[in-house]
Amino acid sequence: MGLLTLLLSATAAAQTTSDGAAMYGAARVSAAAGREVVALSASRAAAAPTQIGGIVAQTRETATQRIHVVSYEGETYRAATPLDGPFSRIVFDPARRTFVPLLPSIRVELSGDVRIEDVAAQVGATGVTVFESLGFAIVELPRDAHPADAVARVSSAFGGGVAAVRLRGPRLEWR
Amino acid sequence: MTPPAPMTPPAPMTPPGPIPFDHSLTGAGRSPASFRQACAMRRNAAPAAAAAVVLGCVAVSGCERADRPPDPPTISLSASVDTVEEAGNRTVRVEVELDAPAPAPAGVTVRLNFAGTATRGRDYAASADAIVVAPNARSGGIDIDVYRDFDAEGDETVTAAVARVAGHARVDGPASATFTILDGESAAVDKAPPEGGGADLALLPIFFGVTDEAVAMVLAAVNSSPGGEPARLVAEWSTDIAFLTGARPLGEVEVPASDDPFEFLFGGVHEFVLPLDRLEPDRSYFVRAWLGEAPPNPFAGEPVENLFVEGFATDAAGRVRTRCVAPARTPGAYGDPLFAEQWHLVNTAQTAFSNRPGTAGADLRMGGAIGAGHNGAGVKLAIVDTGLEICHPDLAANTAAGGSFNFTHEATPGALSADPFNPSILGDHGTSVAGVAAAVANNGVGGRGVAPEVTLVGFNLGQGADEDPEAALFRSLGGSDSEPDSASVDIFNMSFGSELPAENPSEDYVRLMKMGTTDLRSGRGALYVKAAGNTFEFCNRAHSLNAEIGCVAGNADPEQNLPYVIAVGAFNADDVKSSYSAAAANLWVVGPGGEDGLERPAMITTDQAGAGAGFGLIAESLLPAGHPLNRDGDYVSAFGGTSSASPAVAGAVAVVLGVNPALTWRDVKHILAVTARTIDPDRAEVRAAFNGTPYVAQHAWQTNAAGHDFHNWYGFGAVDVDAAVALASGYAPGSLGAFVESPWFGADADETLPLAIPDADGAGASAVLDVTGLPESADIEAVMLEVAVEHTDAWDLGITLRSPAGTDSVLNPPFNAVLEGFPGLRNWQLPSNAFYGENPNGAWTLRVADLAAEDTGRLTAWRLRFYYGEHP
Repeated sequence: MGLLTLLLSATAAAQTTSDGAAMYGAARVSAAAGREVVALSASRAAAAPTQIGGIVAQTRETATQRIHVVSYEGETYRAATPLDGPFSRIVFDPARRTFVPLLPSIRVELSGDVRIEDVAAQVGATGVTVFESLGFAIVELPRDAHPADAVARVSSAFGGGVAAVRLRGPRLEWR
Repeated sequence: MTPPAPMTPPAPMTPPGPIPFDHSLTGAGRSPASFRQACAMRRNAAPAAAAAVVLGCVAVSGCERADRPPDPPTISLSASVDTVEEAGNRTVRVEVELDAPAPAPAGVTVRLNFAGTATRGRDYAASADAIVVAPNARSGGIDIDVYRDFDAEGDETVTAAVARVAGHARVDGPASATFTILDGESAAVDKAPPEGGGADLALLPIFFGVTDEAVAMVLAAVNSSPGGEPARLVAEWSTDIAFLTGARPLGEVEVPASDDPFEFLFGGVHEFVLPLDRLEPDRSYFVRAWLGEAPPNPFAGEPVENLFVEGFATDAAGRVRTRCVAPARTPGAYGDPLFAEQWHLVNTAQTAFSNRPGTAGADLRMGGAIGAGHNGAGVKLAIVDTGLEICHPDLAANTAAGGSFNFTHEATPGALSADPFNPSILGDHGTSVAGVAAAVANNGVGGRGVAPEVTLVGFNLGQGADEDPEAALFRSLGGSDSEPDSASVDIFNMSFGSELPAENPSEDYVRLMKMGTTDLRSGRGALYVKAAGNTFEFCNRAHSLNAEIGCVAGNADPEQNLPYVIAVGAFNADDVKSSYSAAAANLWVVGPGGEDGLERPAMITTDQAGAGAGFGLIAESLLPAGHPLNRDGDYVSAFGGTSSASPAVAGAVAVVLGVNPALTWRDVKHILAVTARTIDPDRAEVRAAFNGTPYVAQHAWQTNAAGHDFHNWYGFGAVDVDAAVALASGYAPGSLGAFVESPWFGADADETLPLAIPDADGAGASAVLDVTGLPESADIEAVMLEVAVEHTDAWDLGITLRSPAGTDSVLNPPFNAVLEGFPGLRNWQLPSNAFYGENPNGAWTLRVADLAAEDTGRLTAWRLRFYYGEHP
């Protein structure tokens, strides 16, 4: 059982700058909790409505906020996020009909077929925490990288099912 | 001589009318003499009297016979009460009494009619239609079960009247009995959200900590409703905790009114910073932020909203204290000065620095363990919490050098990786939690922990926006063997949680728990001890039943809905559930948590060392700094919550493992369960009728088919350390057999689904699942229900599971506040421990009831999984 924390170089981090999926609107993506979610645009540019399955998502910006409107099964759901920062990237979870912020990292399933170092390089990771006993790793992303884009890159390079975005859980309460 | 007047022929007797007669119950055993007397009476009786005889003389048709029976005994009818409170779920006894001359040797059956303004079957139930007086008995009765409901119906009456009598008896007293049901509370639930725009403005703390240049306070001011008023968010700092003097501005922003009804708002984050160059050496500083015109007063004794207060201290060099510095203390004498007031260890009815004493014996029952020196030596306990003051005078000797870890050390100037110091000076939750389990004994200061020789480590969980608490959790709970080394931990105390309506734990968390219980402790499995929550009284849309069954149930935290976790509730110094302790079927045991520490005893434990820091700065206490037993301010007497019950149980587990280190995690759970004390034994079931059908929202203590007692308030009961130690000392590790997680037993092909759930009706929808093929030697250790319900408001739903052996368990209580307005249940997994030790094979019955009007839905799917021990 080992924990390996790799602090990768700033050079590698600088290689990933794209907002990826967000540039062309929403994208379906797997989340670590085993859910299929829709990553919503975090682009500066206004995007046309994107239809994914039965979900129609549209994003626009004000001076201080990014506003997401999702239509699904006859209902409309609205969310507002900051333009930047930890809560600026969110997904829509259709099963729960809710929006969830993303953590700035991805989860990578460990297997003999894929070297975690290769995955880290692919996404320009700033750090990797390997949970060998649990069979997965958490790959930290550069500040400007969109996790959905990173998952798409990993899927493209190593196949689907290897990587997933991570949803920010609720705050813990001390009891 | 006056001839006699002609005789007037006697008037013919008025026929008595139809006489109820039960041939099956006449004749045999009847006394001929009394039979004759009864018939003579009947012949000679005036019409009015005859009517009475009709009721009593059932053998009229036999009156022409020569062998008449003796006089029958007379019967009278009575009710045990004149009035009964509907809310009490009372049972009223209606009795028949026989009096002279003798009891009926063949018995008597009195059939009843029920009348009155109350409706049978809707307002009450009668246990039978007739009262049977056994042969030679003088009385018999039936029970009238008065339903509690929430209808506004006024007081109502129940009249039980004699309809007919079979047997040798007659009515000579009251032929009916009447009592009044005093109407209880009505509960017309208003599901509409509260009106008023300002109520939706909230201030949420995001981060408080130290950076290279400043002390930073990050807050989110959230206004998620349209049309509200703009508000000011103001931040200040001072060296006075009350801000009565020297308050200086830290910043002010205008929080605009929202003009768009976002359901979800992730913005509104504001950061206020206090530059380090403005700080002086050896001082305490306080920062606060509030929404509104004037700051709320937190010292007025009333709960305040939208106020954030924090504090920190500087060292001699003017830097913010971010590491533990051992305070200078004069060594005390042998012993633990506060031990005599630590009711949770030995309850002598002491007051524990509160206004009321507890009840002697309401404790962990560990006098024997203390006397024998069973102190948890050789066992490693991790406090996964806000921090741990590793240099605290009453903890330092037990902390493992280099064993603790500070997840925020890289971002915090001056912090050390092995020192999870909490810079806040307004109390460190983790330090107080640690003291309950692991305060050093016999060192001349303070009190003692439950396991005062345990090896202690602490891992803090940062929650800043830039932090990753989930990753920290994996690293803290056994998933890491360096930074920190949590893989070498025996017991994890988890006095934290979160409420997530109808969510399941993540697959990674389940993987973590499985790994921890499978691989750690050299394959014997680590123990995960978790606080069940303090949400019993946290209601928004409250139903009357919430006062008895709780508001947010203990199943609202998905991470304790697993058999690998020991979910711990709290009991108080009177051996009753602590007022706040959340209830649910996922509870395993309860530990001491106490109450508020002012009116009633709370827990006495370690506080941040020194008079200038700790809960003592903000909590009213009868054990303040300077008190003869707390001169240095290192202790607090008002700590509580299931946060303290959990480390008490974790300490008990350490004591048990210290006695028998070879025990597996399941052995320990088993020992805790079978040795737990039943407390509050007379706690009544909580039941009410909905649309005339009674529904049990919470059972009384139940003994299941395997002989284990269980209650949703208490799990298997209060931990009894001495009994656990006694069992553990001779226990053969691994004797529970192999641990098996069954496949799901589902209702995939169940053509009865979906099942409509009747609205506001206690009958609910029921479905049966036959489980076959599991070993006959299988002993259930936990049952997991997965259920899917389409519904417009899951708050309405109560879910109960009945085992093949007939044990009932409420897996989701109705009116669970965490489900308020929640749109149905999507494959929600709910565990129950109530079936512990039973065999899983047979028919399981699920009942899903909708107990509030308006919203409706249907049961669409359900299945069961069993965790069991399989014996060879």
